[in-house]
Amino acid sequence: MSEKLLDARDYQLITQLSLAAKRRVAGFAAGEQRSPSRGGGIEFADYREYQPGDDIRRVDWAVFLRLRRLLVKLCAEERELTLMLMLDTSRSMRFGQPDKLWAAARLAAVLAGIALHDGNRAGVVAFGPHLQEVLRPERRRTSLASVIGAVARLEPAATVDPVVCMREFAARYARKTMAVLLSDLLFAEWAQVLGGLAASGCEGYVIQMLAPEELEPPFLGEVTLVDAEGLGEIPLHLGEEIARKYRLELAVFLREVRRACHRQNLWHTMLPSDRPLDRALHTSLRQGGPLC
Amino acid sequence: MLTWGAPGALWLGLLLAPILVFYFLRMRFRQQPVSSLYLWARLQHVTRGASHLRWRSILLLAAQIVAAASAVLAAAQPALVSRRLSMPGTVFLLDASASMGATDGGESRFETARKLIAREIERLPAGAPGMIFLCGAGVEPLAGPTRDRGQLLARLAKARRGSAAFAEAEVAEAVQAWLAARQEPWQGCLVTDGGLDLGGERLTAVFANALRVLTVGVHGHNLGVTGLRFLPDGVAQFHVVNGWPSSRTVSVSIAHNGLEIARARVLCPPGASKHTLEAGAGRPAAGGYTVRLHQPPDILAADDRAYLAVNEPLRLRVLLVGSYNPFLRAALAQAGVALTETPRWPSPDFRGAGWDLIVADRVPVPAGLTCHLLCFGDVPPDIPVSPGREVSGTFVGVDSGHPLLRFVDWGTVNVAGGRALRLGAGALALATVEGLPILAAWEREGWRGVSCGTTLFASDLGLSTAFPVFLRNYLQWCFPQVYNPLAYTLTVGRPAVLAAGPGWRVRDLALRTERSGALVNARALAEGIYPWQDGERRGVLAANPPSSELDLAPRTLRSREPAAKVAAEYGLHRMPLTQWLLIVLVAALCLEWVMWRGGLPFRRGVGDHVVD
Repeated sequence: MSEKLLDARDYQLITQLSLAAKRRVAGFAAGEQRSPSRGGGIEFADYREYQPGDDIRRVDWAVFLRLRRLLVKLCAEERELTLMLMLDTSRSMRFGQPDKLWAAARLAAVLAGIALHDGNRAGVVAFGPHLQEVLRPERRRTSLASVIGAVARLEPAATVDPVVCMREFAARYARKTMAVLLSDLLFAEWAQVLGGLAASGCEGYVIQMLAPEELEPPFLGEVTLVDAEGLGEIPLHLGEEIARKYRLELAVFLREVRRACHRQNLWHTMLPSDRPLDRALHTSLRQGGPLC
Repeated sequence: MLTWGAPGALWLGLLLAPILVFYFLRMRFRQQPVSSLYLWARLQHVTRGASHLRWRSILLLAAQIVAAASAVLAAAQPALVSRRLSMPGTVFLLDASASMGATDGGESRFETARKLIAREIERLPAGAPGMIFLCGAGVEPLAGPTRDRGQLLARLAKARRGSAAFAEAEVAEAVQAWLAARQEPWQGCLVTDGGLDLGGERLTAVFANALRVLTVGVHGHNLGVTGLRFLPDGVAQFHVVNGWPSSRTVSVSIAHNGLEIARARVLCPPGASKHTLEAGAGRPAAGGYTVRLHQPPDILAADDRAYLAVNEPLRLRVLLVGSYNPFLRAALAQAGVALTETPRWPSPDFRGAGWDLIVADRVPVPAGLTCHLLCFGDVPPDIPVSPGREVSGTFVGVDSGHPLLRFVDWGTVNVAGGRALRLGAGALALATVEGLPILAAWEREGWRGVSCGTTLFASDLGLSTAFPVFLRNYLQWCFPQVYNPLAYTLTVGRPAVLAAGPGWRVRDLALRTERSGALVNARALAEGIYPWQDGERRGVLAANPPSSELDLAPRTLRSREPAAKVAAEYGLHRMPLTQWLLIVLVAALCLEWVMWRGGLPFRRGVGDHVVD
């Protein structure tokens, strides 16, 4: 299963890309991401007055010669980053060709691989009636195989309560992590979920997975639409006019999601499930997204 | 009571069963799994959408059933037959002839007649239909048939008088045809001043004696002039109709193209009198002549003038094709004919351009000739006459009122040899030999021709005294004005036939013309002088009021009171329903098409919130 989830080209992507945290991370061990702690790193962050006991090597002598003041250079310490991947495993994600859960699992595996490759931690949680911790955040590069194996084994949950899951996620990982939510957001509580993610204090990224069949309904005529999660049926005469209105409604929905994310300082992108992984990573996720 | 014209077609109603079956099969919608109904629910409220879909399906089924049922019932030709009391309708015949313009007591007879009819319309029993015909040279339906008195009165107010005479035969024929198409009983009401040419007998017969005649007019104290002619010595002759009980002296003038050329005072005894006036020596110059009575205004001003059209005599260009023929040469050597002889056709593609008449004698006649044609011994292939078997014997004339046989008495004409003629549509036999046609007249695209199966050398036809008369009749048939200089002087409302070139034009809307080949049918709607032009040639047409309209004394017709009365009658009224069913069928199909396209208003409710 793991071999099918990622192929050789996907492993190359892991080595080519890096995570791009916007905020300083708050890990304990040294890593490759800037942390709020200032001191031992090499990237300049700020100046402060020299205090007795400070390392004399951090005094900026050029400033002293110009201003006759002893100022110590403060550098951001590079600490480790914890990447938490949240996968929506509702039954609606098992839809499309390719199905959205499979595409989300591939993307999650690659993102986790990138994090681990850079020496960061990566963990995977899944939505269910409660938050399911599929893989606790680990740092070892050798744990990539376990990440891939864990996400490859993900199956749709019978019931999903995304609001509860997001509340539990916030309780466990608040203000500590870079959180990537992979979901189709095709549920009524999507705004509460986004609000919960923003309120958790994490650096939030929302990757909305939609199947091609959801973007452009391929069926016409008199049909009964059956919800994959068993939430009901709608008999419908789907003509060109209704299909056009559906496309309009979808555009409105995506715009609402995008605006909600923007308001709450969440990064958002929509990925069709049939988009090639390399193209998704190189284009969609690098434009201010979690990758650089 | 509902009746069926073709009840067997009702078996087609079994077709409704498959429609119902297909409907219920179609109602089992295809299951289409989707990841989430969230977006669809945003697009369409679930309950409302299902309700609409259900209603739409039911309406579609109803439309299909209605369409199919309508088609089946229409094929069965249903009709509602009811027995009901039909009130007799009244056909009002309003005399619109020229004499109705006479003013008796301030208003014209036409106005009086209109008021009389308006009064009669208001007296119509409730539910009785009415119909108004305006009668002159023909019949013009003015209003109805309708039970709406307001409509009848409104249309009556717009009626206009004509300048023609009351042609009773034509009016009776038209009204009879109209009545034949009605199912209700109708009675007639004629309002006239009595100037009917047949005395009202025909119209009375049309209404089966149920014709009431209302006569308008007070007196006939009027002077009118008509019948302007020129005698050979250049003297103008005309007739004055004096409707006064005593002689009247009146000043008369004659004008040529508007310029007065003679004037005199004449004494006109009561009734019609003939008068002459010296209007110049010799033949009158071409142009329009007007004779006018100068008198105090009488009750009809239109008859104070009479018109005469004098044109240059028509000179026919006749081409005689064939070997020397003394009979034809002698018969055609007459005034008005410019004869050219040739032994053969001028060219292989000769079509007759530049000639008024072609006489083909013992030569093959080509097809496509565009002129009048007289042929002996052969016929062209494109006329409704073809040669038959050989015949010989005695030439026997056909008893016919054809103008070609006017004054023609063939006597004893022997035919030594010739071919009988087979006649097609548009051909008429004029004479026979052995019971088979040998002389025939025909018309093709307005061109008139005569074909003779024998020749003047193989028969005694050329020696017959009837032959020059026949030839003259033929020339007059093709060129009506060639021997009749009065052919250019028309009577208002009566059609006249004139020979005219392709460029013949009259630019006056009061003169209606209709071309047929080399002939023009002209009909004047008003009296006067009408200039015409035919290429370089110019001339005039004159139109006079009918002379019968000059006698304005009102006449009480014999059938003043109806000898019979039409009562309301019970009748079987059959109302076919087929056309209504076809309308329902079309409407149901349109409704189904519109619903299928999603055009009904309630379907627009789907996703309304998306559009905003």
